[in-house]
Amino acid sequence: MTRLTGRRILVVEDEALVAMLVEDALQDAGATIIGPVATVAEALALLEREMPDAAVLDLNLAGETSTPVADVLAARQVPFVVATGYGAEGLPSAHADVPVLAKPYDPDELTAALGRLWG
Amino acid sequence: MNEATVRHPARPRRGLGVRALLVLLVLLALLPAWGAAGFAAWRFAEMERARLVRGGEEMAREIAAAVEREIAALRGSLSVLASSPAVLAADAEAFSRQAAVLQASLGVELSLVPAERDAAPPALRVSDLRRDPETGRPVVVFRQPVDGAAGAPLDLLLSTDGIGFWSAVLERLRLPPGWVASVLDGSHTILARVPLPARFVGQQVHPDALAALREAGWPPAGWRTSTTRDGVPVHMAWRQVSGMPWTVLVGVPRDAVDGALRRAMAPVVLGGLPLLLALTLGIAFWGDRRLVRPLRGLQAVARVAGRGEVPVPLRASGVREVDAVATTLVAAARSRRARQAESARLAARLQAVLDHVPVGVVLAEAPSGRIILANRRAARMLGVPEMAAAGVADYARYQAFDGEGRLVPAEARPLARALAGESPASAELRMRRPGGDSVWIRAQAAAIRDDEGRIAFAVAALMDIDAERQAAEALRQSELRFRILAEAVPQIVWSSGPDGRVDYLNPRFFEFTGQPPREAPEAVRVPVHPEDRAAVLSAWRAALQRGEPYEAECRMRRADGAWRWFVARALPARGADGVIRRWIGSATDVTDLVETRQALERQVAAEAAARAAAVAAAGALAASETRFRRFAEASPDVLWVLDAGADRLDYVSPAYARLWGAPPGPGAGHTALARGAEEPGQTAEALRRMLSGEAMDLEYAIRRPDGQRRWIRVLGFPIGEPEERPALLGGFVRDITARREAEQRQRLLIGELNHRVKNTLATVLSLARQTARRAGPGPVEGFLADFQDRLMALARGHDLLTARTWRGATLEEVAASALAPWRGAGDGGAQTRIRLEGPPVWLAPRQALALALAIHEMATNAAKHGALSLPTGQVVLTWRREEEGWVDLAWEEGGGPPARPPERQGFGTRLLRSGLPNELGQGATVTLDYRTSGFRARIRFRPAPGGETE
Repeated sequence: MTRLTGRRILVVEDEALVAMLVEDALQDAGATIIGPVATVAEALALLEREMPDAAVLDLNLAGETSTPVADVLAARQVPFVVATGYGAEGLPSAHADVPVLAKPYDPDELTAALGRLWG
Repeated sequence: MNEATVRHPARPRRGLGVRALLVLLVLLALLPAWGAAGFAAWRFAEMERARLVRGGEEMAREIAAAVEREIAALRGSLSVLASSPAVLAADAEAFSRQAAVLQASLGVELSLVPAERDAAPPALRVSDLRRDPETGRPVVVFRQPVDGAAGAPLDLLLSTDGIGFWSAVLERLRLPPGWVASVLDGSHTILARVPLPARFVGQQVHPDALAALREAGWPPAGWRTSTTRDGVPVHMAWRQVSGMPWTVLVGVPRDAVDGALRRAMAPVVLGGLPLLLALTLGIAFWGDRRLVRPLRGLQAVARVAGRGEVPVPLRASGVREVDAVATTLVAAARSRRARQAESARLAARLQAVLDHVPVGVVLAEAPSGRIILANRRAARMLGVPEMAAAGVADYARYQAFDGEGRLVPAEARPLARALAGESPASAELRMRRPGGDSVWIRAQAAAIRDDEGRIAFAVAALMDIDAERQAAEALRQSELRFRILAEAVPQIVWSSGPDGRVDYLNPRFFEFTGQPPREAPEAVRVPVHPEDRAAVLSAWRAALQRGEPYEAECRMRRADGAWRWFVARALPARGADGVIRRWIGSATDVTDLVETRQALERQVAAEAAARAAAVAAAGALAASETRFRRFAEASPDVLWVLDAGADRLDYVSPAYARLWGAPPGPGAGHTALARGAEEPGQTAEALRRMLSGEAMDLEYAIRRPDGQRRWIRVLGFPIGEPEERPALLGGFVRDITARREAEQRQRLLIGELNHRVKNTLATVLSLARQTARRAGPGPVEGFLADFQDRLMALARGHDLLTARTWRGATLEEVAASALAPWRGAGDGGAQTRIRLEGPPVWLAPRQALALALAIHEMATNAAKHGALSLPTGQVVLTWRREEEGWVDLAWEEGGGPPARPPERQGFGTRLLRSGLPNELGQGATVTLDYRTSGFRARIRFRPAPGGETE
């Protein structure tokens, strides 16, 4: 199992139950959670104050797309993983090389994908 | 030409006259004498000439002999001198004395000179003529070497003068006057000559002489014609000088030689010719007087007799024969005159007879066919003033045609045939007259033979048969016309004689009855029906008897055995005298007529029916048109008809104005359908394709003048006949805005559903993990019960939303559904133990699901540890509306054990504290209060805006 000890990871997920699942998985892997936040506005506000090592980003946040968050993350060179129920086609072309996890996913896949970000 | 020359042969122009004949006779008599005289003179001249030539040769020999003699003398003198002591001693003085003696006697010059010696042995040498260097005279030098002289060798020179010495030799021989003699040295130079030696000695001989010698080949003697140096033509005789290269020439002037002939002939020619002429003329003159005059007189007599007149008898002419001929001529003329008068009388009588016979008469002589007589009637018949023909070929000028209208050639006319031996020959001919009309004549010709049986003449009688022919022709034509007509008509036609016997039946009869045609008409059996036979016969007999028109109806059997009804009619044809000549009848098959009439009636009836049907169809069409209009006007769709050729809308239903918000303009074309289109270019292009006859099905959005957006579907298709151009197009326009919007909504929904299902699965997975995690190690039954309860709560929430097609749900419904396990039916206590109270609040699906799960967790907790774990416990769930759309929801437990905060955070607590606020939306808060009276929770949130109404 991939260890993410000491890593500060931002979780952007609007589904509370899913956010809880992610939280658990990441904590089990030894990471520190930032968030979770459920909206774009909250995520952007959090990024003003914090500088995470990586992020888990849900593409659809209560009807709005999380592309602005992805743009800020990319600009600040924070690696991230995208989770979505729609599949890869919803992703803007600027972030075409970002790892995508299709919902529903195994929490172990998430930690593995995050581990590969520094691999 | 005058009459005389026509009647008598012309005066002979060829042949000689008596005068010319006389001259010819005299000349023939005298010419031989004259010729004999000429021949004698010529013979004499020839002898003279030979004598002269011989004289020339003789003279040349004499001269050559003289020259040889001189040379021999000189040679002897030199020889003597050369051996004289004076010379041998070279005693100049003694030599001079001797030389002087010789010079004086010989007329030569002598001198001693130093010798010229060469390879040749010493001998006498003679030079050619040359100029003496001292005196300039032409000389011939003899050089004699002196043998045995003392001192230097010497030559003795003897110089002879060409003129003074050699010419003198010639002089001495006395040439006849006019002759020329000369001596040539080896180089053909004249070294001596007489006469005129001084002028010619030293010159080259005349080229003619040289050429003559060369031509002769240099024989020692001979003669030729030549020319002297002074240009006189001569007969030249020559002779070689023996022992010397010298030649003697003697020229006898040609004048002298040829003159001999002239001199001999002159008297014969000059004297004989005038004598001959004088004699001839004299004799001719005499003959003329004695012969020609009497002949002229005879000629005049003959000419008068030739004219047919009687000449005056000739007076005695002096020639017996002439007088006899003249007398005979006069007698003959007299007798002929008498015969002619008799002949003319006979001819006049014959002409008078011929002119009064009623036939044309033409007489032609054999074998030429020349017309020698034709009477006036014949000429009148042919329409000419007078008939004339020089021969058979000339008959063609009177054009004749036979009965078939063919031109009859001249040699086939009866007159020509009679001349050729066919007798009698006759023909009927149609003669073309000069006026262009024609006349029929019958010509009969016969040959007239002489005593020896030869054909001498042919006579033709011409009769005018025009009237006869024309009557026959008219009858024939009439008959022909009748036949043609009768054979052309579709009815049966017959004719019969006055007695009723049928003599003609047209082919229709034979076709009808099937009997073979060309049978004798009397033998034909008419197949009248037995029932009708008696009536027909009696009617026919009655008509014949009375001479009135015949008419009957009867049946006759056709070839196939069918009986056909006929109407028979016959009319009598009468002559000019009113007597019936023939009956002409016809029989018409009226069976067909009846059938034709019936067919015509049927056709008229059919046409009337067709017209009625057309009227009915037009009415139906009008009705159909009305129905169409009603249908079109009632239709919610736009109906349109477009004339593609003119691009004009023929019809647009009123729905157009309802759909587009305004009616189409007048004269609008297909673009009216694209009006307001959001993509006008593309739409117009698609509509244009329809104009070429393509069917069309298009959907596009339009914007109305009032700003409304409408989706329309346009259908177009060609109507009318396919070959009809320009095509007529028809179609519909339907407002499909509602359907389009529904489709849009459905697309969104399906997307959302997809998302939601994925999310739901993720949620379920999370629930399972969480449940398992919190339950910790233990019996799996506990996990399953918890997980099942939670899943059921989630499922009930979904059911609720599905029932409302995921638009949302009311707070009361959500709470009731979540609490249903504890408020089950039949458990009245539980019903009252959990109370729900609050105004209607509309929740978004997400809020509804989150609250359903939260309420389920709180109820579970209450059942395990809280108010619901004791029978007395109660739960009150109330909510109320606050300002700005906030809702305050309170969960209060009472009557149960005192509440304590949990030692570790379970799933429920975690869900309430951190999950629920996120799910409920911005600014939502959850407060948990553990009191001794019981557990309390307050949840503040803002429900989905505008979702209150269902």
